[in-house]
Amino acid sequence: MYRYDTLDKAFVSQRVEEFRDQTQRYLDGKLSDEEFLQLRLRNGLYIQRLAPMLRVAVPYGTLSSTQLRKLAHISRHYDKGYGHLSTRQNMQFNWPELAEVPDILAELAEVDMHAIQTSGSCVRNVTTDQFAGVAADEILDPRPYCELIRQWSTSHPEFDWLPRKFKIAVNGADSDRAAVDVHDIGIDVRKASTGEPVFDIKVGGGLGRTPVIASLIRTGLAVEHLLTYLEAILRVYNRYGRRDNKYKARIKILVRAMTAEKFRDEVDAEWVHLENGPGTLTQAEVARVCADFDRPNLAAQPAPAQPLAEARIANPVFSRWIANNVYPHKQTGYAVVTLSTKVPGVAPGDVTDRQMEAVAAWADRFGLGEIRISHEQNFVLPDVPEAKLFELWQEADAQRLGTANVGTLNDIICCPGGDYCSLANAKSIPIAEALQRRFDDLDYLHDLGPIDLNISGCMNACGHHHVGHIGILGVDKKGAEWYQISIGGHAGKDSSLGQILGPSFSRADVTRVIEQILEVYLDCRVRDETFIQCFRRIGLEPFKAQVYGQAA
Amino acid sequence: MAKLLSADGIVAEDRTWVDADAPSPVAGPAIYPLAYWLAHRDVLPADSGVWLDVDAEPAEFAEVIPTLALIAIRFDAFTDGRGLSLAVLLRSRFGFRGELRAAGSVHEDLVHYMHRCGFDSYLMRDDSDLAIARRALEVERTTYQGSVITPEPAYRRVARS
Ligand code: SF4
Repeated sequence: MYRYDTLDKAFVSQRVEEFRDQTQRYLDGKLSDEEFLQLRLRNGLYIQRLAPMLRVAVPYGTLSSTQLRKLAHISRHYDKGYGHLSTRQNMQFNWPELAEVPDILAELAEVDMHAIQTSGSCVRNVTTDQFAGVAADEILDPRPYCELIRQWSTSHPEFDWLPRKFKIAVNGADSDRAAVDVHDIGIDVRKASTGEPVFDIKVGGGLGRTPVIASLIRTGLAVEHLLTYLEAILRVYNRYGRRDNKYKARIKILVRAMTAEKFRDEVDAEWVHLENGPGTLTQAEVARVCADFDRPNLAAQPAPAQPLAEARIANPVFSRWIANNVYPHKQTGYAVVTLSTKVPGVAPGDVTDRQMEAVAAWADRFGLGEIRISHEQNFVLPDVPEAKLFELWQEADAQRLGTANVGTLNDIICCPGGDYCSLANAKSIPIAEALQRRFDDLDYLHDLGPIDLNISGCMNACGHHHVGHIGILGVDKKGAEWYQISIGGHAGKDSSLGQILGPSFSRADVTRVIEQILEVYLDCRVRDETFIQCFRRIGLEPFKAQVYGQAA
Repeated sequence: MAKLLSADGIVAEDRTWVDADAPSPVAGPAIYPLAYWLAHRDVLPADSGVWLDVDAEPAEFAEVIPTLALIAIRFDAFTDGRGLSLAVLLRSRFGFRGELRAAGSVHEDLVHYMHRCGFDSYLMRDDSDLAIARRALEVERTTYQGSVITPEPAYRRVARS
């Protein structure tokens, strides 16, 4: 993974001191609430319903065991002993004291971490495939390019005050686990026939109130032009994006208003002036950052004492875990393991300090000390020897991180919702909890196959409900909490947005409605058709009829 | 009276700001609304400045930009980043070499970013703490990107490893 050099370290510690000074001036009454709000947002600090919330950046979801131990320490020392994995691969703390935040940032800086630009109207943490660098279906590791973009966008003097938040995702695999189609800028990196990396650039995707799939505006961009091209896009957006209405301020609205062709022309007209200018990446810089992501040669693995197949036959639960939670690694003899945080009674993505310590220890014992956070709010161990899978599974199970539910209905993506977030229309965690309690039979979950169920507490869509195969959205009906359900969303290479089933439901009805939706699927599926394939064949009507009755 | 932070330190405002409502020529150095200046530039002193809103289109008056002594950009909110892109364009694309001044809602914590976008003076609100703004400009900072004042990004400026 990327190693900070002296420049990175100097930058982060200056930023900590700057924020310490700003916090002190606020506490001394020298900065108004409104001023401090803008300054603290650029450093990941929200003031939530109950307390401040600090969102720590985990660039593109990769962190080291040392960094995770530091996060465990922070959760213990400054918080209530747990942290929360966000849907943007970051770690959030829900209970820090405002006056202590500068100390937390100083502790983070010790392990080359920070909270810069994890909130506010600026370029946010660049996200990517949680299996980057190790997935068997990968073309190129996207993380060096994420890191180059991270550095370019960090405290950018011109682009720190955009009309609205700005999210960039990069994907480098055959499948798209980074959901690039629903980002402000989505980037696919692939290999040109020469073997050189080239970039396809999409703009204007997004969720929220107006979900849109991004438009492709440039293909085959060479690596040296990556940052100047992004600069051109950001300049057009910074100048022309709407600022009068925050619901119309995302780049997707601008792209739609101008049309994608016109937007592309504007960007190209701007880029003419930047192409080959000083912002052009040098070969040396690309090589420097890429080198940090070179995979060390993993030792060839001896054949496991008890072959995996035997262990699977002997232990069906383990077998299910292998089927759901383990992904093929580039190198034979190794596996990519997802540790699920989704267990009944725990909010999706919540992890205790002890769990963090355990994950850090496994990363050292069963890998190269590296951990990933997925946007599905789980931990990933990228380099586990196959011979160690059984041992890891047993230990993970003891820490409640070994549930065999990844990719199933039970692997719910859920925003903090009304329990924590002041923007919420409705609570989302209790919905997730009720569903996890209702659907806890692993055999049944396995039979249902892959289903993404995503929950957001309001239109801001932090829970990505639009791209859930089943999406649940909290809505406000005359002050009461209601839930709108959609079906048919999908994140990936063939993304689609969910279609609303019909009038919304009270909290008490949500579980029943999900049961009915699943019944339709089980009745209608042909052979091993997945939920989303089945939906795409039969459409919304049969689901509507089942849920609302023939009259609806 | 607003205070001005410039390379000379903290000084009194040195020019009369002429509003757009009923502009008229004033005695002494002044900053006029662009439209008024364009219409009357033959009779106004050569060193007059003009001011722009953050959404001004420099392409519409490109030919006069290199001749201007001073351009002020007026921010209604310090969070409005359009003024930053405008500054970058004036400097790096339209050949503006005069004094670039930020006015209106200018926040002391942001002047160092503005400086990198090409501003050289800041007309601050009365309640601003200019000492903080000045200190912000003086601090040596580590930066990643190129900017108007230092076009080369870090990887072209320093050896990284
Ligand atoms: S979707 Fe709404 S309720 Fe949920 S975290 Fe985002 S803003 Fe808060």
